[in-house]
Amino acid sequence: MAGTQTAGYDMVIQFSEDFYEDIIGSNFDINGIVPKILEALHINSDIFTIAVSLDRPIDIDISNSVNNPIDISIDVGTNGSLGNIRIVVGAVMIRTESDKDILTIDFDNSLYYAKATFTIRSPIDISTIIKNITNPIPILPLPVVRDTTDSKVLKRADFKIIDDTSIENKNVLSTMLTFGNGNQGQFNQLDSFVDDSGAIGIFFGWLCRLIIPRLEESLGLPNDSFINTSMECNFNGKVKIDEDEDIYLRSISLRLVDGSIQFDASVSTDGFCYEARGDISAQIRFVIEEGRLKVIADIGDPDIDLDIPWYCYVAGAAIGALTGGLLFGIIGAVVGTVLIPLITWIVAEIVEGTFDDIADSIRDSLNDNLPEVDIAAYGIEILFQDVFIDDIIMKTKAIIHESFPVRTEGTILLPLGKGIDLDKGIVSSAHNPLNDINWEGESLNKYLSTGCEVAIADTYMHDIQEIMHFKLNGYNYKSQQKLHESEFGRISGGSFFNPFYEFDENKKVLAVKTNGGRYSLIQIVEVEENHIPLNERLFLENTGDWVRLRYKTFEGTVPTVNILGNFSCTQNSKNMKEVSVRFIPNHTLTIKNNSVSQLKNSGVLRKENLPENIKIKKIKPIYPGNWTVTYENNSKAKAKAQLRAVSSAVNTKTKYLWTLGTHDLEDNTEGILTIDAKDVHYKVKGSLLILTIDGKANIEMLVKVTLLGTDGCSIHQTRCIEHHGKCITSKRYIPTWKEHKLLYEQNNAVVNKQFILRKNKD
Amino acid sequence: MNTSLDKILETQPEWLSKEMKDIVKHDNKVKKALENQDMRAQFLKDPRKFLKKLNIPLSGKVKSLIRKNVQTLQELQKPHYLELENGQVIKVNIKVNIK
Repeated sequence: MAGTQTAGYDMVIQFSEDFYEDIIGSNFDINGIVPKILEALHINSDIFTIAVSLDRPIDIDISNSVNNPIDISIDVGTNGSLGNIRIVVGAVMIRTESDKDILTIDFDNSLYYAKATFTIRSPIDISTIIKNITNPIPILPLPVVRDTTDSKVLKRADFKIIDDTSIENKNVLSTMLTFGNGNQGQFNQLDSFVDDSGAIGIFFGWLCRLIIPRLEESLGLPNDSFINTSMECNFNGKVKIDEDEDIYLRSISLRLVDGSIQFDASVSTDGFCYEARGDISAQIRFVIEEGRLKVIADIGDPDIDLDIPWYCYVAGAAIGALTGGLLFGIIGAVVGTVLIPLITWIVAEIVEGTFDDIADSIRDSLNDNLPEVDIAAYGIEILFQDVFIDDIIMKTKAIIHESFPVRTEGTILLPLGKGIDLDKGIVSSAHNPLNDINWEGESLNKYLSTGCEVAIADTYMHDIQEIMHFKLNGYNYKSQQKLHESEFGRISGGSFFNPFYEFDENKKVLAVKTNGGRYSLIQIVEVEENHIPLNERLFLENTGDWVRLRYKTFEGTVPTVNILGNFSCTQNSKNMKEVSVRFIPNHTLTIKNNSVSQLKNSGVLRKENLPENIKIKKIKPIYPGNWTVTYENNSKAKAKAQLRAVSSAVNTKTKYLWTLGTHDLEDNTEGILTIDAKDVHYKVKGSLLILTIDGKANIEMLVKVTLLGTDGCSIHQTRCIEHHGKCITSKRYIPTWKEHKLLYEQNNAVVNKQFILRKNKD
Repeated sequence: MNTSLDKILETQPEWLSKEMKDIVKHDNKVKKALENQDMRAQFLKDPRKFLKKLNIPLSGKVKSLIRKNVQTLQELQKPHYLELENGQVIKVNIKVNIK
């Protein structure tokens, strides 16, 4: 049955074990958790893999009352040859802050099992070690307003680990969100709806709650004009929506059906001797294009009911009034001027704009509300991949952007006979012993070779950015390798009919242990064969042979520290003022034109399917482009920088010393300093420094962090942190019906120059 | 709905206005006849024949005017076609209800 997948929760975010493995692995990695545990256990190894399972453990004794256990397994040594560390810890929703619900992995209060099993000794309980070393990990910090009645504002977040016992084993950690005016859903009825890595479910009743106020405001309707039954939002009444043509909106209905949303609208108009009512319907579908959700409509044939008194019909026939344009006038006004623009407005602006708002708020919630805790941060990028409607489920991929320091990265051209020092990013002759990898060989026998004391492993992945540093400990590295070019793709050509060689790269990513003691990722993105037929090559050697190599080298055991973060304005309606609202034409956009469907698969009517003698009138097109509103911060806005010191070398006793300008800041303190005659509020918490200034301030300041080790060694980094007094943000603007109509009525020349709806001249 | 004939008839010759106003006097008779589906179809197709069956007189001039428009009256109920910018042609179905 449609509308049951979110179990009545407004929004449900589900991610599989892989997502949580990346978050936990990344946190363990950047905070040096595993090395610290191994240090405490006197195990000497830097090879380990981390695996996370959401299956409820059945092989160890945990109480039935334990909810939401996460099973973390760390194999130490190559393929776990030295031993294993097993940790079972609970996920909890922390609600201690008035304005945040934070989904947290709670090592302090919910550590259910922690045991180390190594070949050199008997299994031991390591709960105390884990509690001492590991801080709680905030997975999803979500801003809430607990008494809100605004459907756009989050009221409460809940969560549930779903241990799927079906054959597909679709285990997920599900976060269920309830927004203003919403009710918590049916906790026990919620199941996993994730096919692969993740999915976000939208409850249709919530979509209605978001859409209805927009429609009511835009159409000038009083509040509560629409009825929302969670399966349907509809309006019945009479409101004028076109002054020029005297047309009234009589009904709108958006209804959830299997696989789509059914849209129906009806308008009426009357005049001398007639009353006309036009009805139109459309099937609204969702597609994902380049990671963004697009809403399109398959428009059905409109119906026009024309009521005419009999004597008007006779009189009209006698004087030609019915045939003198009356009917064409009605059709043009009702269908062309109102119904089609009404569909495109509701579909492309109201529904799609609402989804854009939802997507933005998900991204903001995941990334802009990271809690002020002393733990390494990460960024989460949400990519929408597919969408289907029962409730509206968007198949989603989440990429964790870790903060582990990167030493060098880039893309270089590596000619045949050259190599690269991945620690420094320097290309030189393949004979250079400091090279980590070389591109060598000749003709059709070219290969990638490892340099001295360098080992290489296949990651079986194809996207460098998706491979996190913590994963690099676990690959099967081999030294003294020669990888033939055929391992990097398929070569074709060299025949009589096709003498030129072509290379179809497989873009596999390899992990490298460099001779500088670091991990690096490399990927051959392009192989250039010299395009000289084989028989001629004998005379021309290898001219033109090269590979384009992408690489990324992480910092290693050599201690370094980076300061991450920048100023950004705190954004809410009170501290941002509107600068302009404009329509920016974009003729490369097709979907706006085609907020009606692109007809690829449909059997809809086309001009060429009709007899030539049928008259077809063309409807004025809807302009392709985007409505955009630009905001600038006002005097109430504050700019805030959450600066984090991230290092490749931390341990439990590492101390962070922050310096702001010439002022040393003590740990766990806060206060106000004057820099360049401006007040700067600071708050220090270990690796975290939070600075807050007036949003209008134009300021630059030197921030320095020094990491002090117990051995007296120190490393530091200094950065200039700037704020230029302005925070300008743009976002999608959802026009009212009148604004949409106003644009529709403009001519091409006006729209092509950008149609400015309003501009604040202050 | 503005059902007053006056406005449109103001612009017509006096004899035509008078004849149209006379026809309205047969309101009950016509409405009763229109309850019949065949009669309603007949009316939509050609009001002259319908009125003749009901013995409602029409002058030769009015008959002639209606005759000129009979073809287009029949066109009135045929679907109209509009082309959207994506190439889809939508068929606008017209339903004329005589009251």
